Amino acid sequence: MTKTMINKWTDQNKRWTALMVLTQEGDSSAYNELLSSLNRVLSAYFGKRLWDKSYEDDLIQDTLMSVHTSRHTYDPSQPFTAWLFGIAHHKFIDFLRKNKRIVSNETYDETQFERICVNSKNSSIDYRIDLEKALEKLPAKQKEALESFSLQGHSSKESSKIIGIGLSALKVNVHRGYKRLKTILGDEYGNN
Amino acid sequence: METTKLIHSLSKNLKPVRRLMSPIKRAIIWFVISILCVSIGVYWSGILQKFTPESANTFFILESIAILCFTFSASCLAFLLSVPGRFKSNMIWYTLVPLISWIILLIIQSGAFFSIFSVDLLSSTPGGMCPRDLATLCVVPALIIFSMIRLASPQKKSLIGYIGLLSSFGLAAFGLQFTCGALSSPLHVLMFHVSPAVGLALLGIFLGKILIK
Repeated sequence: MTKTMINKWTDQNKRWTALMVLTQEGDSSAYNELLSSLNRVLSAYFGKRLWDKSYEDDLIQDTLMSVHTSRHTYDPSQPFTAWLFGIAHHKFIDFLRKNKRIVSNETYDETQFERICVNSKNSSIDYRIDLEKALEKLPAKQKEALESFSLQGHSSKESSKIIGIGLSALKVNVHRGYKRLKTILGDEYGNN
Repeated sequence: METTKLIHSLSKNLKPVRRLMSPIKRAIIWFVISILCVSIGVYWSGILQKFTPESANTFFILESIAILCFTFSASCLAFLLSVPGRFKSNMIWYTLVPLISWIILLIIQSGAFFSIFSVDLLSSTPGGMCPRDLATLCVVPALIIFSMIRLASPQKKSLIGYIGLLSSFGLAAFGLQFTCGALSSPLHVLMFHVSPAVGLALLGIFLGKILIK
């Protein structure tokens, strides 16, 4: 880190401290400025750590809510960044714990579903009819998720918006739907 | 909800807040109030007569200092942990050193007086009463520390719960120094004061999750 960067960071820290003191006194414009500034910093902080950018907004919002509820605990004699990143770090760890199940057990390979569809053996009209039949056998949520994400080619974020469910729920539905579809089609086609 | 909308709504409904006191000041307040409560508990239990001036030997004084240092530093740690960004991992030593010193003192004492008498005393003293008294004396300090921690913004709830309860048990163990009739046996103190205090404090992991929000 260069000297200029250190000076800039120290100035920023002082500025945040001053804004936080005003916030504690009830100055809403200072608070708005502070939160907007923190939004950018937190975006960079989580951006470096997250494998999926779609979680970034949720984490930033969670952290800002924590900043709001913990604002009375900030002591101006202490560095603001230590306080802020203390909250952000905890939120990130909390997020990792909550998503551990999805990340480790419910992960899915986006290409797997395409492999079934595009496979030369499976590109026949008969296969497509069977695929549609198999899709009908799936629970509504899994069917919707697979159709939107895998067949219509929407991104996971777009699909979650179209269906109106969370990103994590979409991923779980796609994964489970794919597994079920694989079992149904696997019985008939004997492939994986 | 978009982040900009959230920021707007948070700043729109902003209310002034009263700044929380520093963790050390809060630890001092807790320590003073809790030591008063434990003293009242010890006095009311009516077994203070078991404590004689002869009991207050050098080891007893050193032990008491170690327990009080341990209790105070544990409470500081719990309060520091309840404020974001204030805890540093090396701070754990401020709590561990007095605890280890207390245990070492007891080991030295038991080594010096390790005789049939000590073993006899260990077997003859009803140890079951000490953990019960320890738990009773710990209730009020624990309630106070948990309610004080809730005022802050605790994040590592299980750890804070454990350390908070450990400090309360430490204070209860200090009170027990005056009420227990078997203080001349360091083995008894190790078995029925230190071990239950450290063990029962594990309940704080669950209490922390339930009581601290």
